[in-house]
Amino acid sequence: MSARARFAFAAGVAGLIGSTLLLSGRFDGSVALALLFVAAARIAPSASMIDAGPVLAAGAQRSIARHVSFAPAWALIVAAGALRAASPALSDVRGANAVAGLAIASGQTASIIGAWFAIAAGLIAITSRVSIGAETASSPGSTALVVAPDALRRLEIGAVIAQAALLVTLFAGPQVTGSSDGVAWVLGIAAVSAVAWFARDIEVRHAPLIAAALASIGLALAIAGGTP
Amino acid sequence: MSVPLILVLVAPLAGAALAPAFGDVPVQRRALGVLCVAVALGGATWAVVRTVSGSGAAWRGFTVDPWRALLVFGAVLCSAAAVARVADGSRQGLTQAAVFAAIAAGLMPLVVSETHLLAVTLPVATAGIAVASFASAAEPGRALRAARAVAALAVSDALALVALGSALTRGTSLPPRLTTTAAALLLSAAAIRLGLTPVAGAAEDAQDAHGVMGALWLGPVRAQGFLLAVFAVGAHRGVAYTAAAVAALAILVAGVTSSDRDAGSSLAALGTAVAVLGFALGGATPTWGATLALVAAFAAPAAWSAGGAFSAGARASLTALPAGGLLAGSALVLGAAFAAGAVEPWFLAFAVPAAAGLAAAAGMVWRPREGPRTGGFARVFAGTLGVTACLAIAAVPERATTWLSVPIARTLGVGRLLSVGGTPGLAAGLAVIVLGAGVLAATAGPGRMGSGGPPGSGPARRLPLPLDWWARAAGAPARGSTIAAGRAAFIARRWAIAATVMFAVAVGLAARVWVAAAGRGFL
Repeated sequence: MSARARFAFAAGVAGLIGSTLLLSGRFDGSVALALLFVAAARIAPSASMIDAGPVLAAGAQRSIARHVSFAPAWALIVAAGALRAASPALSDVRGANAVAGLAIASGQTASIIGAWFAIAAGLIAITSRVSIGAETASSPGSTALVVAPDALRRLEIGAVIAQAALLVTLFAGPQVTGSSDGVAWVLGIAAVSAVAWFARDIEVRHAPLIAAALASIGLALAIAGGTP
Repeated sequence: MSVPLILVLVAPLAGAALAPAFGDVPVQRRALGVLCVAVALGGATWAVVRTVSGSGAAWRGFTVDPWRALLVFGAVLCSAAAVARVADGSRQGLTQAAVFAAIAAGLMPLVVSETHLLAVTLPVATAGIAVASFASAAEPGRALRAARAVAALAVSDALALVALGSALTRGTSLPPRLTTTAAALLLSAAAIRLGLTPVAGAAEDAQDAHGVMGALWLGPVRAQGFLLAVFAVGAHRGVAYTAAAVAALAILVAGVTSSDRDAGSSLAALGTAVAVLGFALGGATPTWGATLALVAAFAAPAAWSAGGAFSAGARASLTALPAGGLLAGSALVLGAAFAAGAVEPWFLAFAVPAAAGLAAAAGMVWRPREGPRTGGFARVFAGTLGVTACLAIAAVPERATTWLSVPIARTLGVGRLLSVGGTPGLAAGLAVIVLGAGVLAATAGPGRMGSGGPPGSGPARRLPLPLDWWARAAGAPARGSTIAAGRAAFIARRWAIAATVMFAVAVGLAARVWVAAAGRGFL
C-alpha cells in the first residue's frame, strides 16, 4: 500500500470518527464540518486503491470522479437543511426538528416539499456508486474476482451509514430526549441505508445532474417556505 | 524592537550579496543559503510572536502589525522552498543571488506603511521576481510561461498603482481610502497575484515555469496579493461582495481541479480562496477562519517541498498538518457563510459553491501526480519546517484561534458584510480525537506501508468541467523538437516585450504617485 493510499485510508477513518461524534451530538459543530467529514469518509475507500493494480486503480479513479460529481448536490442539500433550521449548527438543526416534530411533515407546505426533494437528492447521492473490481480469467469452470480489501469495504459501509445519518439529521431526526425520540433516528437511518443497499446496482444516467437539480429545487422551496 | 525586522530584511540581502562569491563551491553556498533563510525565518517568527502579543516591531520607516507580520512569515516560509529548488550547476551562484534579491524585494511592500512607499516597492518586487524567473527558467517553453507570468504581474502592478494614485488626495496612510472604482481595481490586481479563478492563468504559468518561480509566486507575490485584497474588501461593501463571489467560485474550481496540481499547490490554492472568502465576509468568526486558512495556504507548499526530501510518507505526513489547519479554517468560514445564508439566503450563493468545492477537494486531492521530490539542500529545511508545522498543528484549532486569529481580526477590524458570528468551528477535543484516529489508521491500516507501486507516475486524467478554462493558463509549446523550441522562444520574446512595456507603465505610475505624494508633502 503506497504512502498516499495509506494516508487516504487514515483520512477516511478520521472523517468517519469525526462525523460520528458530530452527528451523535458528542461535539457541537456545523453542518458544513459534518459534510466535509462525511465526504472524506465516503471517498477514502476509493482513494485508498488509487495506487493499486490496474483493475482496482481504474475503478478507483472512476469512483472518485463519481463521488466528486455529487459534491454540488450535497452542498445544496446541506444548505436546504440549514435554511430550514435558520442555523448551520447541528444542535440547532436537531432542535428545529424537535420543535416541529418530524421536519419532513411540519412547517410551510413549500418547505415540506422542499425537504422531500432534498431527501430524494440525498438518496440518489448515497445510492450511486461505482463498483470497484472485476471478474478475471481463471481455471476452467471457475471465476476469479479482483475485489477491494475487506477493511476498505467496511469503511465504505460506515461512510454510507454516516451519509444516511447526515440526511436524517438534516430533515428528520429530532433531539433525543427520550427513548421514543430514538425511533425516528433508527428508522430513518435504517431506511436510507436499506435503500442504498438494495439500489446499489441500479444505474441512473446523469445521476449527479439529477441529484443537483432535485437539491436545487429543494433549496428554492425551502427559501420560499421559510423556517419551520 | 527592531531586531526581528532587521533579521527579515537584511538576511535575504546578505544572501544576494554573498551567493555569487560562493558560486564555485556548492557546499559552502548551500550552507550560506540555509543560514540566510533560517535567519529570515527566525526573524519572521519573532515578529509574529511579538506583534500578536501586543508589542511592536519597527525599524526606521519599516513596521509590521500582526497581520503584516503573518504575511511576512508566510512569504519567507515559501521563499525557503524557492531557495531549496535552485539546482546545482554552473552559474547557480548567480541564480541563488537573484532568488535572494527577489525575496528581499518581495518582502518590501509588506513592511511599508505609506501609500507612496507601497507604490514604489511594488514594481521593485516585480523586477526582482522577473530577474529570478528568467535566471531559473531557461528552456524556451518554460521561459514563455515565465514571461507571461511576469507580464501579468506588471499588469497587476499597473492596476494597483492606478488605484493607489487615485487615493492620494485623501492622504498617504495605509490602508488607503479608496473610491469604489479604485477598490475594484485593487481587487483585480490582488486577484492576479492570488491566482484566483478568473485570472488564475498567471499563477499557473509561474508554477509551470520553474519550481523557483512557483515558490516565489506562492510566497511573496501571494502575500502582496493578500495585502492588496484586504485593502480592497475593506473599502466598500460592493467590492467585498465581489471578492466573496470570486473566492467562492475559486474554491469550487480549485477543488475540482486539484488533481492537476501537486498536493502542496492545490492546498495552497484552496487555502487562498477560503482565506479571501473569510476576509471578504468579515466579522470575527470568518476572519479567524480566514487566518487559519491563510497560514495553511502558506505552510502547505513549504511542507510539501520539505517532506519530499525524505520520502513519500514524510511528504504526505507534513502536508497533512497544514491540511488540518485548512479544515479548521474552512469550518469557521463555511459555518459563518451558512449562518448568514440561513438569515439572508443571498449568502448561500457564497456558501454553496464553497462547500461544494471543499467537498470535491476531499476526493480530488488524492488524484494528483506526486511530482519530483526535492533532495539534498532541502533536507536541512525539512526538520525545521516539520517541527514548526507540528507545533502549529498542536495549537490548531482553538489555541491558534485565540493566540493568532483574534489579534489579527482585531487588527483588521470589522468587515463590510458580517459584523457578528459565533458558529462553532472545529472543537479542540474533536480535533484531538480525529487526529488520533487518523494516526492509528495510518499505522494499522491494511497492507504493508510503501508496498504499492510508484504512485502517480503520470498526470491524472482531467475531468471535463464547464468552467475548466477559467482556471487555466494558455498552453506552451512542449520541448521535443527544434521547431517547437524556436516557436516557444519567438513567443517568449513577444511576451517579454509586452512585460517590459507593462513594467515601464507601472514604473511611470509609481513615479507619478511618488511625485504627487511629495508635492503634497507626504500627507
